[in-house]
Amino acid sequence: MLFKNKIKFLSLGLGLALTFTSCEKALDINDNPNQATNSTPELVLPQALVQTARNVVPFNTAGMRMMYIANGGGVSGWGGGFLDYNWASGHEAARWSDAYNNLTDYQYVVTNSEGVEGNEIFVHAAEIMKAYTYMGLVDTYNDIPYSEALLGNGNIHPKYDKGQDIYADLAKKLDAAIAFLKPLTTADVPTSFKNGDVLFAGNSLNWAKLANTLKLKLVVKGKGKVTFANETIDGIGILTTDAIVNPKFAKIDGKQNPMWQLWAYSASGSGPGGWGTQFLPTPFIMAFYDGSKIVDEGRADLIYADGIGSPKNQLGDLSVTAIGIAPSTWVLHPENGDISASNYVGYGVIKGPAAGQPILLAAEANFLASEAVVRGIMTGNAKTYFEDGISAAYLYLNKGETDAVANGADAAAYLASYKEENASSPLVNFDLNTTNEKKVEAIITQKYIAFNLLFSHESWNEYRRTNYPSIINPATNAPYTNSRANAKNTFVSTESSAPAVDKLPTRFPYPNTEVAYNGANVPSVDKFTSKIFWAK
Amino acid sequence: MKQKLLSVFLLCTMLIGVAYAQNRQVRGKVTSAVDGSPIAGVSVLVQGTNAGSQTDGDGNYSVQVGNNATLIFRYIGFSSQTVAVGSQTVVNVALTSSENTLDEVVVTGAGLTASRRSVGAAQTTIKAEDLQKAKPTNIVTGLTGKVAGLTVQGVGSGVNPNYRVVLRGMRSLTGNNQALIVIDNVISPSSMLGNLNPDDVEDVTVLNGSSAAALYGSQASNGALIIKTKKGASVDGLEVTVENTSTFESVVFLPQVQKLFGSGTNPFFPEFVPYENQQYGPAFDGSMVLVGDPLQDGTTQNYPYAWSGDKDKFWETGYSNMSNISIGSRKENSSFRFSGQYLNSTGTVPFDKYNRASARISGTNKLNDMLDVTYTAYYAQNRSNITGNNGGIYDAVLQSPGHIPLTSYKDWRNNPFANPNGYYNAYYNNPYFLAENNRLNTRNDYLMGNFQVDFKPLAWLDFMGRVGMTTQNQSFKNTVGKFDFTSYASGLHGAYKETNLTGSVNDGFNYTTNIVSDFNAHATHTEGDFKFDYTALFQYVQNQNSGLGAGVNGLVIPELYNLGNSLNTPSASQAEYKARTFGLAGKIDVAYKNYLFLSLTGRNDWVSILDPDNRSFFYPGATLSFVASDAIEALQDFEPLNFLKLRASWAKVGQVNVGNFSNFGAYSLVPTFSQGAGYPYNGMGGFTLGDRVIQAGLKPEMTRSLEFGFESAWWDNRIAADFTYFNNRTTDNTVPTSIAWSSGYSSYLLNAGTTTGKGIESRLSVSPIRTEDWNLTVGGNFTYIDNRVEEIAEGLDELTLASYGGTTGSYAVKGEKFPVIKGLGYLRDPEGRIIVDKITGYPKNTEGLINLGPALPTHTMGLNLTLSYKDLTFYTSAEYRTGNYIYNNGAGSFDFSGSGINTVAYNRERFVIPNSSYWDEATETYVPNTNITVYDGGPDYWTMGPGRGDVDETYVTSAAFWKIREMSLSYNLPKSLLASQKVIKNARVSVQGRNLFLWTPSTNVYTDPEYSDGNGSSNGNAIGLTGLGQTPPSRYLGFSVLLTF
Repeated sequence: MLFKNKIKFLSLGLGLALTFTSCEKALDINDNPNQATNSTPELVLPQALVQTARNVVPFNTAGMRMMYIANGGGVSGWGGGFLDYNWASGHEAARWSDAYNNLTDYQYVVTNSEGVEGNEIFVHAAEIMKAYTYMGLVDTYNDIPYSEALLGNGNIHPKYDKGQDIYADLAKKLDAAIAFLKPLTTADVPTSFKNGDVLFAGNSLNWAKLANTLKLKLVVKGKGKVTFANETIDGIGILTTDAIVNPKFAKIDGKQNPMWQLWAYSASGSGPGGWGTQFLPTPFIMAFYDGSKIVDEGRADLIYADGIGSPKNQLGDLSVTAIGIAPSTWVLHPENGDISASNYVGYGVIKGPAAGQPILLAAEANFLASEAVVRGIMTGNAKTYFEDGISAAYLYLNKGETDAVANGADAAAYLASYKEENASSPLVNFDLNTTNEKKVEAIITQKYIAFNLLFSHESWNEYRRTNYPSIINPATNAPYTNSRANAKNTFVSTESSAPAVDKLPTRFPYPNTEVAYNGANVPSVDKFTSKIFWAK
Repeated sequence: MKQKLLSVFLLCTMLIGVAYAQNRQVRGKVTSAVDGSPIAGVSVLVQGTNAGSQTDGDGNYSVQVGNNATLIFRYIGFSSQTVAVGSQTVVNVALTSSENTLDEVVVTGAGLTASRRSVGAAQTTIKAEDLQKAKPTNIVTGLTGKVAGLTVQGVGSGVNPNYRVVLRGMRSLTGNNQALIVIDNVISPSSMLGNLNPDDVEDVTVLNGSSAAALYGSQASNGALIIKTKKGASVDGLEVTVENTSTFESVVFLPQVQKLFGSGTNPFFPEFVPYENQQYGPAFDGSMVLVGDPLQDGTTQNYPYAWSGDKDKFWETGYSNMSNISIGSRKENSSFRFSGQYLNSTGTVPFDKYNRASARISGTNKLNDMLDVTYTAYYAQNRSNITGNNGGIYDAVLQSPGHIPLTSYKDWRNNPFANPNGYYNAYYNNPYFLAENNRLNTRNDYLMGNFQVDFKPLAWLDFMGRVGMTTQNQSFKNTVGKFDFTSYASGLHGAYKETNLTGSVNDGFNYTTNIVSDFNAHATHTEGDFKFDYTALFQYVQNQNSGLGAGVNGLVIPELYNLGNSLNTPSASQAEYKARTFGLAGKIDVAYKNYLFLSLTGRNDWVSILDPDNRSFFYPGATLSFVASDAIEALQDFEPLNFLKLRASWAKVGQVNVGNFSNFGAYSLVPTFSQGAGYPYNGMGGFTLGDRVIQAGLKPEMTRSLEFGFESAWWDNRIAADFTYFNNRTTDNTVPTSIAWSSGYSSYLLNAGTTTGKGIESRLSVSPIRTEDWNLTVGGNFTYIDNRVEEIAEGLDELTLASYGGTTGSYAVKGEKFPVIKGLGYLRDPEGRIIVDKITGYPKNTEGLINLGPALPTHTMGLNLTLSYKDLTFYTSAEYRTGNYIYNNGAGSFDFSGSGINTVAYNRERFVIPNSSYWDEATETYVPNTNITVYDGGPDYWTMGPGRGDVDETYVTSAAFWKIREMSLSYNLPKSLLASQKVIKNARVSVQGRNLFLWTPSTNVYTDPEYSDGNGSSNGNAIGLTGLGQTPPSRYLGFSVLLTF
């Protein structure tokens, strides 16, 4: 009996020991078969570039709601502070989360490329895009987490850095990128980078010029307020082509050009429903086409379905009955047949499902350079840059779905007739401006026109920095009253609840998530009084 | 391979049998003390030896015994009896039914059985006849209100409703809180509950706390429902039962709507608008009015401007027919049962259909004196064809003005006014069209089986091995029809006619397979007054799930639902999950003189879903039971008391809560990358980092539970009274906290959070009348639960469980009850009055979200009554719940549309907001408002966001209710009547109803507060929310005929 028990316990012990070793192996089945748990900079960078381009679209919409579009008829219950600027704490919170989410990917590329032989270009491209994105965040929120951001659970309560300090550091990063990229030849760019470069197809010169243009933008906006280590703009020059991201957008669900998806048609062919027709252009922007301020019917025809005859409304005016033109007023209609997901013009602002999405226009680069020359930041011919800016803006509208200029547009002829039709307008004819301030007004106003429905948020930034396009009544030297009578002279909502003289808010509130989860660090700001550091 | 080795080893051990010599045969017959009928399958054991036998079909047995032998007779449902043989050669025994007695054999954790006297934790067994009284199609509904501490909550309505079963409140913040479901001792997915044939169930044992359940493994921290299926005929020989039940389902508890005003939208002066959904027009006057826009051919429709009642008639009467057949047999060494069921039903939502068919074979077989096998195989399939747009339909019905002849628009294909082109309502499509154009076609096949071998080589040693498997195969096809509006229609009013419906089809297949294998070894020995039982348990669980889905938007040819029928590229998705658990548990039971019982358990789990360093965890438990009425002499002599048992238990159970029922928590510990928006483009991939970071070394949640209680029976078992106090504390809750996006991520999964739950459970059953003809039993149970969140995480005081649009929702808030409803409230003065604007009379809402009350009922009471006279039995059960609140998400829509009854509370006249005040600048105080009426008593007030629609407080009501859950009247044809023939042994007819009556506080004008919408969150913890996604709850009335051959 005893002996038997011994055998029994021995075998039991043996059996258990065997079981445990096998258990250990049987439990090692927790490798994810559904999702990748690691990746490479080669796979992450192209995605991040596309996401940066996608993020332009809601930023643009937020800016459109400030300066370009208004409520249409047939809709009531406008909320979210659209009409009165009385934004709730969660207003446009996705601008913040979209940007940081995107930055995490660029940071991944930097972290995983640094020190890897041959991958320096990944580091610098990602740093350039980080600078682009951080600049957008500073311009929206002023002080933001930067030096302690993007650390995951390494720091879930990152501190806020001053906007000026971030500008200064971004300029350094861009200087380093320019220094690295400038001497590169096409042969120096690794294929792994070229293949995934949905922005410049591996053209290192364009990357360098993009970096240089962003540096220029930092200095133009920050000069006098930011202590830059180096304010010199590199001689490599500014970007002369539109920076367009196109991973081969296509008429496939989820793969469409994001502007087309938002304002025109889904891949299956359904329209945006009520959304597209709920908004109208304002008389204020139309005044720069219809002759009230500038005669430019041709460009209006490249933007709006019915050109200057399109329905309009001033923001806040609830008596309007007109509704937008389906699918939305800023989708051009074909000459023959009804507009549909398969019958459309293919150029303008909303070009088509396969068009690329710009992240920075050559027009902007030229206007920045023009202003920089006027302000003495760089040397060159301000007028040439100014006119090149107008031409580039015109050409972008004429670009088709393939991102090449279509329908035989002639920028030189356009510019000539534009100047001639507005011969007495200093906003068009640069030489008519005698003071630097007037020159800056012309530059920023042309930028405002160039950014219509494309980079509306940048127009809002520039308005807050320069107060152009002007809404000042020269007779009183005070802003035009935000009434219906002044619809062509002011874009300010008739329903504005802002207490400032110009009846405009000054910034977006910080997002709820930041207040809730990083509250101790978030600066206290007021949407009606707190200003971005570069603001006037 | 090595597991196989283990099985071989176990088998070898089993074969080491030792036989003791026997010298004398004893035989006899075992009968029931109730009616004298023989009982088959009774275990007859010779105490202290391994010898034993079982009664045959006639209740006869024979067994070899030694000198001075004592026989033990055991049969479930009857009290065990011990008889000293002495010199007798024939021992006849009459077993008494064990209900309300301490010697009833009950199921405890992990498939073990024990006498009730030794069980140290609260548990209740509900027998088939009590579950089946109202002929539910889902056995869970038969449990509702019958067990203290058990809450059954409907999570959806429709033809195949789902239920959430929770014991003793909630423990896990974001993980699973539902009771573990065990069918025939095999852990089963809870989806099986709705697919079991209720007729197959013999009984359900509810283990309220985690201590007894702990042996089932970590999922048992939420308690368990142990379902036992029938294994053979109830009597000897062959028995065939057929039954048919027809049930009619009709919608009750509809939201209250106003019947006074029709179409119109104008504030200040009502104006009739023919195509308007909002009901702020002039009062009904009976005149003929135009409805909608004219058709393209100029035809118009005109109807009386008066309440038509069609809005409430939209919901149809559902019908279901359930047929059962069972064939059972019982012989000397085996029993066998086959059963089949077919259920066919239509729902209250137009066009909804559902059917279910199932078959089961099960049996037991005694291969020899030492070896028993038990097996079950069950197959069930269900097919449903329901609408995919319940919320849209419900809303569209409520958005129909009262004078609209809504039910005349059912035939949208042929009736031009019902066709979406000609439909009168400019803003909301025809609900019949929505119902028929959005379809979910689902088929589910379930296969479930288990096979168990019991081997008892020695009287003191036995082994058990079991494999169990449940597999679900599902496929679905969800379709949306294509519809092009005419250019005439799209040029009229409204928005939905501007956009053509391009149609879509989504197809998918998936399967889930759960395998549970158990090996138990058990030994026992007696030493003086002490009896020891040692049990070792080994368990292996594997859960696997895999699914594939594809869909395409934009169809070319209408009504052809195939992925190829599109100019667009279909999209596809795929996921698969696998998780394993090994469990090793031990249990030691010590009994002293059959009145003091101590049970110690310990279990260690090894799980695949945690890091190797953390995947092993141990949890112990102990229970104590003391039968005072046997131990204390004074009580033995106290005549009125039949028994009094005191019990106490303490246990810890670990649970890994990082996933849900379909992913089992697999692969949750490593951050992932996924393809970015739109990727891949043109053959090029692009990946983005996930948004979640995870704490290194994530641990399981631990629930510590403590309970004390007593069970007692009085006056010849006429009164039974039980009481339990429980106290749970769960620490290391796995919480996905939100973090600031500037960290680069939005979510952080970490161990934090502590929740507590304490309360009491009590039961009282009284049988005041017990005569030959009359029998009356009244029972009740009462539960009180205080569920709280003690802590969430450092720097985080609240956690959103689920919300509408990120704000109003169900929250876990530090220091508050768990969970609470949070939303915007009215801005109030220090005295609690609503502050109104001095000029407009309109209220304002609070800036931030406020706590609007707890969502889990604190007090629950169940009552039941059985009254029988001869062969006629009447049964009813009722339930009361209170202490909680509910947010009605659809209510804002009622107000906006002007459909809700509240919008006519002041007959659309201007009125003073009750209990309001305004700020008086002169006195700098809040002055009671007696004269400032709202600016407009019509749509300007009732539809406005700030001050009305945005104020969630408006739509939060008490969730208290009294409900008559079940009522039935059944009649067994008298035996005398059947005596003349030999074919039919038993015949019964019955009528029954479920969900018959509901009483709620008058403020709840919306719906049955039992239904919850928060289950959009995968774990279903977000209770206290209800919306239009659930169609109105139903009342069921049916009749049945049962024949036994």
